Amino acid sequence: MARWGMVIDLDKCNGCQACEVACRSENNIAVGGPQAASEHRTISWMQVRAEVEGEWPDIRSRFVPQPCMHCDRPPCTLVCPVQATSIDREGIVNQIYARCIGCRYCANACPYTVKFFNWHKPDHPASTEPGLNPDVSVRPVGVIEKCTFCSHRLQKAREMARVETRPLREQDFTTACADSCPTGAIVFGNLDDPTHRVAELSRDPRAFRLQEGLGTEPKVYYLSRRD
Amino acid sequence: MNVDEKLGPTRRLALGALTVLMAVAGFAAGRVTFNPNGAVVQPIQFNHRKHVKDAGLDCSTCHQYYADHQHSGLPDLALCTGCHQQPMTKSPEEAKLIKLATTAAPPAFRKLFRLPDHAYYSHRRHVTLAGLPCTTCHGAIAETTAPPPGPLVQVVMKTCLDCHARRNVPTNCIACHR
Repeated sequence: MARWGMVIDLDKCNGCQACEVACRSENNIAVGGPQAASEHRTISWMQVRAEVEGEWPDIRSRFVPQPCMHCDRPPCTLVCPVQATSIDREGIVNQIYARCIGCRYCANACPYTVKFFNWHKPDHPASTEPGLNPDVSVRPVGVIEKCTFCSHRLQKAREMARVETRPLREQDFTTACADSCPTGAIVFGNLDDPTHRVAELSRDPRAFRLQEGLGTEPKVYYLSRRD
Repeated sequence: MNVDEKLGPTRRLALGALTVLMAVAGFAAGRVTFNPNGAVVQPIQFNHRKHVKDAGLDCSTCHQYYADHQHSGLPDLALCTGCHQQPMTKSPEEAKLIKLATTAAPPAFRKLFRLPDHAYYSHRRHVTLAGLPCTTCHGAIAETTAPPPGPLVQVVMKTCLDCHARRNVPTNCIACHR
């Protein structure tokens, strides 16, 4: 059984935000527009957050790309009253939009603030509509959405592997953000398979996870030489 | 409470009747607007039995992609002209087909099954990998002599879940929903 996870090398990330763009187009994320932006209600499953440390002129900044952490002990699934969000056998925390009643308990329970509520009717500019990904649904207004580790790609990759009667290989399934990263900072794979790069990188001395003290056991690891 | 404020029995009956009437009207309006049993009208009265049973054609002749794609594929009338370039019978439907197929934009056959946007279904997975026969979901479509106005088998979520449970395949939400 796979345990899907991600390693993000902060020493390699240059903050270009290609992962954000790739995620938006892969997952049909609505364009919020000026209104949503002014209300701080835009949706971005993958967010490159800039952290600035120190006092001018002695400042250093770094970029922290932040998708859903796909915690092994997710707080969000515990509070969902309708089981619209759950962790599956392979460790992916899912969100079933058709089941979600929009109570936003999960968004409030998430310590990483990576669950987003559709406050407005999703707006896709007419010119981008033909480019919507048919493998991902367009979410209606009033439901929570979040990063799925591109699980629709896993569905397709697994089907393809079965057609070709071979096991699923490392290169068969990766996320859109990892695919698009020009510096190769984002690596995706099976944390439990020692042949996968993520398994090795997650045991790197530079590796840490966000808010480890909470005991949520995130499956997104970060690598950094700095504290 | 003051006795004068109570409604008389006739008025109460009238109010009750009005409520029922409005509920019925609302329900009917919904049925008409959303048209749940709306008939699908095909451009040609296609005879499945003649093509499948009598002519011995395989499903993939027209539904070209069912074995190795998510969608099975619905033929447009241009595909029909592969065989029906010249009239093969004296059928008036065939004459209509040839006439329609030679227009600038030949109409296509219309879908009977409409899957919601948030549900995932793959023909390849069910037909090629799981080995389900077409009849499981499509019923006796191969026996029909005229296009049915709707699906012969009503496939709802319970149909899928029952079949998945019987065959011991995943029934978790994310297996089909996204």
